[in-house]
Amino acid sequence: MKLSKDQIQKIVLGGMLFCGVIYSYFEFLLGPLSSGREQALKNTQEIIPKIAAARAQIAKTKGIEAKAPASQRIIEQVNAMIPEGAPIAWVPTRLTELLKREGVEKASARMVGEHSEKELTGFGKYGWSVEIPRVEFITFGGALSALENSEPLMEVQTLEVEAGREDIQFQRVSFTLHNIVRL
Amino acid sequence: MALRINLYHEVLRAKRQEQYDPLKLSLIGLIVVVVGMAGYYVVQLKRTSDARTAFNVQKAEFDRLSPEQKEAEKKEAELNKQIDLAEKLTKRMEKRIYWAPLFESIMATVPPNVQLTKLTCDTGREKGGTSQMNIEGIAADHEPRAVAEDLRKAIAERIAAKYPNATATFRNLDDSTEHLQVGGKRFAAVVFTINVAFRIETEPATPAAPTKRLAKNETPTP
Repeated sequence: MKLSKDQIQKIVLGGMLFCGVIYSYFEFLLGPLSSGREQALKNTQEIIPKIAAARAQIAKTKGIEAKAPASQRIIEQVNAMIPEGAPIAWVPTRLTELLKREGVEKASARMVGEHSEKELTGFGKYGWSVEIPRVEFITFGGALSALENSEPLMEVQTLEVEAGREDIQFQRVSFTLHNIVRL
Repeated sequence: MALRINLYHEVLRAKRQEQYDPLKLSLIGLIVVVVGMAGYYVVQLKRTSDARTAFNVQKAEFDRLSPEQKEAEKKEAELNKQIDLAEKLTKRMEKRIYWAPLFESIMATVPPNVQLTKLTCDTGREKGGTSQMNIEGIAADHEPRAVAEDLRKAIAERIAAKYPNATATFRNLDDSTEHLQVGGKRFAAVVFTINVAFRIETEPATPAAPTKRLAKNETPTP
């Protein structure tokens, strides 16, 4: 079969046109489509861990929220144990009244210092000195026990019990204590 | 035999030539390729569309969760502060030293021929956390040093029951110049100071609440 010149021209032209179509097909149709898909897959892969992290964070917070009421209760209980007003106005009275209830008369309490509490945000610590010039040791032991039981925010820091020189039945007691207060 | 003469061979050749026209054949080929390419494009388009849809679904989920996550982070920080504060307050209360039960333990160990004259206690919170007790007294007996030593051992044993790391040592143990009367008899005496040291951190559990009253079967006189 012999092709005429006209036919050869048409075939060559057709071939060129075909090449152009193929190029355009891959470059302008499939190319963007493929890169768009790859980008979408990449973005999906990137966003999946973020979603997992967000879900984990929300779940973690819910877990902590479940614990929160207990801690909130503790803080409320502690706050309820601290009366309103300046500590100097209520701590000495509270101490002497407690000691009096336990049979310890003539106790005097005074403030000896204010300490910062870095650990306990919103709370401070006051130091108090208590003097009891004359008390029986058994009575004092009971009063100390009552103080330690009923005042969880107070802690006796130093304590001195000395036998009386004139009357051996009685002792002289002095102690210092720290008391946690609201700032 | 009859002679057959084909007078249409020129017509047939032209017909065959028209049937196998390269232009026509390449046109058919082109159509097949174009249809194939279009089909492939549609398949790719579908895959891309699926990938984008999947991404959009995930993005919508992330956009929904993102503010919740930020809120949760804020809330977590607040709650952690609150929990931390509550834990520290609880720890502070639980780690207190209850002196009254310690006194009770010590007084239970004091025999009748020993008189305690002075008791000093210090939690040691500001000095590294080692709590100290100094117990001063006089012991009178035939062998007063042995009595003082027995007392030291008994005190160490009692305190160690509450604080396993407790130690009790003599600060001083000196002969007294005076002789004391116990039960109408005169005995030699020693003056002593026993130092008791313990650390609250190693306490095994929450300290037991102190008893309301000291033991009444003993009549200690510090």
